[in-house]
Amino acid sequence: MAKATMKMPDDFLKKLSKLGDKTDEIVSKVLEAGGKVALDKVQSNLKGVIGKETKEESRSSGELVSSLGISPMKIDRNGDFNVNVGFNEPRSDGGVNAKIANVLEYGKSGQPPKPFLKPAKSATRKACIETMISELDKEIRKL
Amino acid sequence: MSLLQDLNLVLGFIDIPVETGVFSDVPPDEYLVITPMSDRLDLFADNASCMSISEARLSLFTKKNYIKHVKELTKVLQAGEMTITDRQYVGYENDTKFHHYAIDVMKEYETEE
Repeated sequence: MAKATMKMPDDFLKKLSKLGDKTDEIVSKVLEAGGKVALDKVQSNLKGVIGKETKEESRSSGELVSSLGISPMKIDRNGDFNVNVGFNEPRSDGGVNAKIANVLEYGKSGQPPKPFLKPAKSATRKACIETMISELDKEIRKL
Repeated sequence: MSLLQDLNLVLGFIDIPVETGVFSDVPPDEYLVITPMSDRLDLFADNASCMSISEARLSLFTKKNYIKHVKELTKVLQAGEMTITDRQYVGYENDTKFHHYAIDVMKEYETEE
């Protein structure tokens, strides 16, 4: 009976093996690149809403904007790799940045919301995915 | 039609005062505020967008039980062919005694020629 054996090229197999070894490093770089796109948008949205149409003169110190950042990559309970865009805590006055951000995002009775996170999430979804795809491609080509 | 027009239309079925942006009057025990969030173009063909996607946030403030209103709102929003992208109990405001609940909605519209 005729027998056919298919073999992958050695170079390709070596690259696959390298990719396996470097998964954590590559995923971290890819997620960071995507997170940077979201962070830039959140930052610009936040700058646009702080001190805007306030009843009294704004007392913004710029601490909320400067505390924005990307967390290191972590694995969640589903086993997915994630980075988060969020605020460093605590504030210099002992307050909580997330609480102030929440009041800005959702408002309260007598204080209209000034959403900056949700619009950033919707607006950057495609750009984040595209950036991450191109970063992944770049990293794979380096192998 | 726009999302604001659609929202005002469907929210007319619920017996709660609604305003856009900020509630200008003295707030009653229950009221709704619509905050437009984003309005972006999508689905491109022949160098033109064929669709626009609008998003808005509904903030429900009530001193009573909010669950009944959340159910009603969910029902009328879905009947109005809107997508609910988030529902969240924001919290109880100790100073004003209001429960605050936020519902984010989205709707796609064909770009008008």
